[in-house]
Amino acid sequence: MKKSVIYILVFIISTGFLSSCKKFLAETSRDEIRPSTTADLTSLMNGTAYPYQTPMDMYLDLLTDDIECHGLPFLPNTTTPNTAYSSYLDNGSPLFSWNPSMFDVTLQFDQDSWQIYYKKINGCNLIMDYLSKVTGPEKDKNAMLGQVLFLRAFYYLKLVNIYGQPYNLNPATNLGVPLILSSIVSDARPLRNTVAEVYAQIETDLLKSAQLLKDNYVPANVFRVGHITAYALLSRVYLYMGNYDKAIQNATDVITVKPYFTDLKTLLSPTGGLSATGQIYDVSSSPELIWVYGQNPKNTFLYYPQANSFSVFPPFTVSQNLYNLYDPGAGYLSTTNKGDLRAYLYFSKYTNTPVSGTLPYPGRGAKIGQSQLYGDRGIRLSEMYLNRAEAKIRRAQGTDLTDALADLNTLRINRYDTRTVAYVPVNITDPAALFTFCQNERRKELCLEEGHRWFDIRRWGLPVTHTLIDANGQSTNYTLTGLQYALPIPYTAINNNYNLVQNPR
Amino acid sequence: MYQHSPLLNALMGVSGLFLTKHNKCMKKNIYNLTCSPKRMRRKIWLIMKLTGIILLAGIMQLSAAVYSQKHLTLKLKDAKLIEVFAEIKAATGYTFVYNTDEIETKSNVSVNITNGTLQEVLDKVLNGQGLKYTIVDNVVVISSLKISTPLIVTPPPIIVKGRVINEQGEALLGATVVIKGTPIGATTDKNGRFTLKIPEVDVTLVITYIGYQRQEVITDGKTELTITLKSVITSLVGVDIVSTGYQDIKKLNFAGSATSIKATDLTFNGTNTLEQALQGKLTGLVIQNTSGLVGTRQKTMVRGQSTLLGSQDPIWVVDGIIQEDPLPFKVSTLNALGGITPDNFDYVRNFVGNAISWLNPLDIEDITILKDASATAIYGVRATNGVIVINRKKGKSGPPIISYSTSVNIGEKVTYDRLNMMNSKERVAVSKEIWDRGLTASVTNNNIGYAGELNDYLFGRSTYDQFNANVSKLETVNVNWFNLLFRVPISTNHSISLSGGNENTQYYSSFGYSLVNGTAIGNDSKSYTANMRVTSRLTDKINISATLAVSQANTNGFYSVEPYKYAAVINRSIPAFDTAGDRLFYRDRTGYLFNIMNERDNSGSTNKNFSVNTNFNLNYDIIKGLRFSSLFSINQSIVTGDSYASQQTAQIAALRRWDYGTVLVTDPAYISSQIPMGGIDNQVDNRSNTWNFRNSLSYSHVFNAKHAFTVMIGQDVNSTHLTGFSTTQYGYMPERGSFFIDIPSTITTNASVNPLLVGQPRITLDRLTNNAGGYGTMNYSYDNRYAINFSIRTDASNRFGQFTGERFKPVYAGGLRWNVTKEKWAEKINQVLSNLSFRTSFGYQRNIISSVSPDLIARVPLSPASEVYDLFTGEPRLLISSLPYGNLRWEKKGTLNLGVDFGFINNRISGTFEYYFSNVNDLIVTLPVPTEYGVASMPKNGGSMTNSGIELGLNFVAVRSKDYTLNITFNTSKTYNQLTNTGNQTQTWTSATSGGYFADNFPVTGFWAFDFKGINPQTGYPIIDLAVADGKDPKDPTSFMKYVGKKNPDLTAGFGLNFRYKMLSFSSGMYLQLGGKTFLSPAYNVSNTPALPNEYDNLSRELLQRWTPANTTAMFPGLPDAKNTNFALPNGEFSNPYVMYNYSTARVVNATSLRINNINVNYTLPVKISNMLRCRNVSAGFGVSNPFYWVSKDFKGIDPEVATGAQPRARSYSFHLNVSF
Repeated sequence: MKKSVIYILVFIISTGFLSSCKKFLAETSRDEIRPSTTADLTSLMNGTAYPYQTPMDMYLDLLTDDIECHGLPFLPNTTTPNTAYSSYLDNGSPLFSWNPSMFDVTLQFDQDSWQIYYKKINGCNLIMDYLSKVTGPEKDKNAMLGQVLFLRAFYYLKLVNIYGQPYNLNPATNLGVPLILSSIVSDARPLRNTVAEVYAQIETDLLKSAQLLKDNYVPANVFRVGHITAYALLSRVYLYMGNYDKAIQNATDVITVKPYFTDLKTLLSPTGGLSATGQIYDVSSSPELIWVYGQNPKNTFLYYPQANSFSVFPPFTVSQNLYNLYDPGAGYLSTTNKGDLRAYLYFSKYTNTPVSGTLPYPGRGAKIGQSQLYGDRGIRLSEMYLNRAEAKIRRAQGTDLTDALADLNTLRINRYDTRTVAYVPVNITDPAALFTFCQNERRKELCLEEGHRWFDIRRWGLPVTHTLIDANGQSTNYTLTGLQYALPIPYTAINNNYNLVQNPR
Repeated sequence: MYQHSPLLNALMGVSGLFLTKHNKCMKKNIYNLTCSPKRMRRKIWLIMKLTGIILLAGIMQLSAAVYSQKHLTLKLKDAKLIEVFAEIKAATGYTFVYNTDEIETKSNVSVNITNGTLQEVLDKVLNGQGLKYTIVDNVVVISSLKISTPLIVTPPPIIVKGRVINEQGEALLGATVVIKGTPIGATTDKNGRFTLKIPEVDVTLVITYIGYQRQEVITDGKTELTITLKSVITSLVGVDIVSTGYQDIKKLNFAGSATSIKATDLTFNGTNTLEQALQGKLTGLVIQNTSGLVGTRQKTMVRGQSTLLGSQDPIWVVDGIIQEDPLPFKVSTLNALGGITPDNFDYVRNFVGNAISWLNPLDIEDITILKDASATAIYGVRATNGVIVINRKKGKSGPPIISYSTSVNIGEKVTYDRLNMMNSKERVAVSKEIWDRGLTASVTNNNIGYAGELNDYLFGRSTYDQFNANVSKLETVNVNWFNLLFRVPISTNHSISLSGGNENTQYYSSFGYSLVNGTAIGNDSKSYTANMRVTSRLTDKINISATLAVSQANTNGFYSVEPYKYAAVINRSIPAFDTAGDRLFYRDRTGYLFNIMNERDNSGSTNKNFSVNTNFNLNYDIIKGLRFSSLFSINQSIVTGDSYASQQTAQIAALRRWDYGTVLVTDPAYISSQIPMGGIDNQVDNRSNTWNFRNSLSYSHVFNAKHAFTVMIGQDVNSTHLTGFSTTQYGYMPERGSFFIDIPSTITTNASVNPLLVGQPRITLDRLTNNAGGYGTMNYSYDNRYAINFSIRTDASNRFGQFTGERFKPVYAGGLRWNVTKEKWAEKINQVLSNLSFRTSFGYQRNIISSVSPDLIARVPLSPASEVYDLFTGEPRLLISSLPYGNLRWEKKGTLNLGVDFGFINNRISGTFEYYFSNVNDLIVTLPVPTEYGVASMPKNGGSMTNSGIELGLNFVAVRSKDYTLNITFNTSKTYNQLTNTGNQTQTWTSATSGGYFADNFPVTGFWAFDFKGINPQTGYPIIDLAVADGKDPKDPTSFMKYVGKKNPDLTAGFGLNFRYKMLSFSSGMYLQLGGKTFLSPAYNVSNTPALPNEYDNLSRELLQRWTPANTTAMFPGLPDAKNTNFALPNGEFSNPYVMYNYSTARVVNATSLRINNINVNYTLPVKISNMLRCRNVSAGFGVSNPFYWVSKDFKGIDPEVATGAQPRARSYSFHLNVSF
């Protein structure tokens, strides 16, 4: 009897242990997977390689002449500064004054662009490295490879333009950013590649991407990139590089396939009132979008108060210098002829002004996303026209100047309020004047978007002077210098890699 | 003859040879007695005496149960009985006692027995000889069958009455009195009295009582006895059995490293958690307080750190069951000793407590920490950080005992005197200096304090006279925030327990209530515990026990309000109340009206932790020595936490964008606000269900009375299911019936979605963790002198992304022990050297780091909704959970432990000395990597770490008499920790100052400081010598810094002192730290960029001696202003002199300190008085904790904790009363 009890016990223990063991120990996780198919990897690409809503470099506008400073506003009917605005002023001041230690302090969520972009680049590299490890159609893999090559090039273009000098200044010797082309993390400390090397990599990746995407992928929506997007970015890259032929060719390739402009007057509400039925980045009503990303509700909170949440001038607004460039037509309050609609539709208006009767000041509004439906950054057709026009003015061969003028007029006719007044085409023949006109047109069209203005100021070498009004109402003038074109590499990046040579500052 | 017996006893114990000789003399005596009736009686009487002697002789021997196991082979033909006995004696060592005359008359015998037991042989030999035998230990008594039988059967019934008391004269209830060698016995009642029928006039009574020395008393015809038991002179290790949670091993046979303490040696008062009570009590256990708030958890570490990435917590085991944390482990929270901003839910987590917070400390019987590989191997991979085994009290058989204990603890408030902060006048003077010298900063705040008044004057809002009047008012404000935000906390504790039972079934139950008030107003904790345990012996073979414990704790804490931090740093010239006596609000950094008391009253966190723990234990002795044990437990805990801030707080005003009550519903600001009404509410609800099922078979056997074997194999499965959710909701109205008001779904003016409604979903938790393990242990001991232990365990879990290739790889360990004083030769010196044993163990352990994996693991983002699906395209998104760090392996740790246990002069001086050395290979380290790789750090198997240390525990009983005892304990430990081969480190000055810079030939916590060369007399800026040492690489920050010492102390030691005079006892604990250096907290609070002192902040009084243009030879640098900018250090990092000054040689101090942790006085009422009160025992006491400290003069009289930036420990007083009936 005793023995049988032992046997039974041993049996129960051993069978109970062994038989249910496998099931009991089956790996489970509610939220984790090992990517094994192209579908898994596509989801991972959507999450880690695409920018989606990640705020990456929203501060770039503060470096430009598109923004001006008003200091701390006073509390109503007093001369006491309203400290509720302090954080906006504090966050923006170092950037606005091109302070060399702007990235040495605790960084705000969008200010460590170095880490943000490299994290995305790691996401791209990871997808590339994992393509061979998942199952699925070759076509899908090629489509994915095309997309991540595009995205990596896009991120490097941003990085090299934020932390390196512009391409038109000694690219072969000026330092760009380190090129990391594999997802393997190591403790080796990479050196900064030259600006030329980074551009070469960007070009190679984009060309390969364009081919792969053309053969394998048709994006289902403007949030994913196809070969047209690659052409569009190539036109931007070549323009920055001064390779005008290729800039023109790529822009033309885009314009040919996707010639649809958004006529801004169609975005106006029928009554011509302030509220628009759509915005330039509205995917449902704006056909000129080539690629869209971005939009984060936090965007506005760091440097600019939310629209209409304050009744006075905030510390930073869109500059009068920019605002005055737009043709006012019959005036701001006109319901029939608002002139250049961009002034009207690209900026929100702060309606409650300190002194009644003065004009509302332009805030960063309609161009930066406030809605969940669409993004606020990316590539638009108008940039292709502007790229082509600028490249042609610079190349100035044959009919280039008239072609450029035609491109600019095409853009403008879609931007003016032509409901009651016909658009009068501009005619400029002097190349220098035409170039200035083109520069202004580019500024008016692409302001507060993608850091375009900052990158343009750099490559054109434009002078900028900022007047910073501090918390005490003290004004200080700052003038942009060439050294400041390459922003300081954040303290955190140098901390982890002492091989990074800091930009002279 | 009786008089000779002690001598005989001693001699018999020493030498068998001597014994035999002596026996011959006895034989002679017996021989001389003849068989007349009178003589017969005398003879019987003598035999009985002899029996007594023989019984005594057995004292020194092993258990009598052993003899039957002795096997022998005997082949004799026609031999005399005497010859036969001699043969048996030669073969077995048993001595024979007989009447020679009688034996001579018996016939010769022939035997042929192979491998028979002694009884078999004797049965055969004595068969039909008219003789019988009795075996008592090593002695076989041969007697005549006819005469002895009737006489032993019919003894006159003798009743012995007695009383058992201790040295203090207190009655001992429940002491066991047994007639030696029989099961006949009795237990004492509450007066210590017993009554026992004894079969003979002269028997030996064995009296035992836990915690007292076993005593034997020979009745010698007396019928009234008073027996005084001596309490056991406890060594540091008060327990002779080591409980590993899986088995109980005799300490003599245990080769591993374990330290135990009885609950009676711990001091609990109103505020103490179990961990706090253990602080400094056990060698090798380090307890750190992370917060002065009530209800927060402590950080516990056993023998230092053996992993860098994983959890460093040891596992807690209660009655054999591993206890799981009520909330899942979160790396960032638990490893944080500052520097990590808590999220909303951390406020809850911090107050929830750990895996054993449900336990009532007063239910604890003893606690054992298992430290080395051999002791912990049976727990497998989870035990790398050590194991703390807690055994709860069991009922004792006897009449019901009710014990009640209560305590009151009164704390002290922190005061500004200890903080060394400037008063209003001094602080205003700093602001004045800023204005007078025209200093500027990049960020300023000019609307409060002196700067605010000055601004008002400069902008014409006040006159010069008003300005002067206001400033002199500021100078006298001197708000005492500690009076406003803190209180003298009074905490109480009540516990009642009931225990008792009969020989078969015992019960123990307890109920506890405690109310702990924190010193900050608004922080308190209330808890209830109930515990019930029944143990029963169902049959001879089956033992069961069942336990049910229920506990509930409610903790109230703060949400986004830190009263201590506020009081310590706020500029004291900002008034708390206005002239009308109402709370004064000022605009704080966020720009909204703020008053800390208002903020505190309108926000908070409440946390409830309810848990039920049950377990059921069965032991079945299948056959002798073979035991089946089964243990099943189910634990459930429910944690609900709620943290909120109402609309009246400044933090909600910042979201709302206007101050409470300043905007009408019709105002545009109201319409465009994202949260025009209501506040915020965060809720966490976590449930954890754990079950555990363990079965084991163990077999113990003793061969030839010397070889003791125990083998155990077992299986262990456990499963933890965590479910729950956390959610944040806006619109909370705690002041209006706690309902939620809708917040607008869009912000009206631009029709955008209200951001507060985005990204605040309900996050659900559902995690199932299953573990299965198999284990085996083997213990062998020879003659209690030598012991070998071995154990092995293998584990597997269902954890996702685990190292699949390493599943089931075993953990194993073994050890050896030599009990020197159990050697025969050592008995000669055991008056001096009463105990000496050596032990050594070695084992391999593995550690899983759950946060890393060798594979690419993607995860579904759990929050917010916009992360899970691409809002633009509707496509699913995945994020990276773990990058593929190829070739990652489990950490492997080999540990060697050497130990010596010793005791001198009857254990008056006793102690343990241990040395351990462990080498962790394949240590997973996070290497900081260039951020260009997309991550800031990566885990790598590159590292190895050696950890070695010595531990010494001493117990010295200086005086022990009836009226006085003086007992001194001392423990010290020292850990040497060295990281080797960490790979390519990042070398920054911050790692050099923090002790995280590992250089060859320097201790692991060695640190460097900037070389302070004085103060620039022109500017007041500190001068730092940044010259790169010759031949050094300037990329290495230590090339331009100075080595200043190491952060770890050379020696830490705990002292304990116990003194008793009659019923009054006194105890005290001290903590000594020798050596070690530390930085003082920053003089000027500058972050990466220098800044002038903010009007909100107060400054340390040290800075009264700062540089000013008038005092150019000052000790402290002048105020840092905007002119003092960052510049590049030789290695390319950017910093500025003030940051460097904070980490310079000027701020390094010697951390040597001596601290009295507590002083306790206890008085026990004399038995007579407590009996008059109808109580068994009454005692009361008083204690002070943290009364005094002495530190190095570097601190210049400032509280060392304040000087290094921590909250000073508050002194507290406690009173307690214990009554048992």
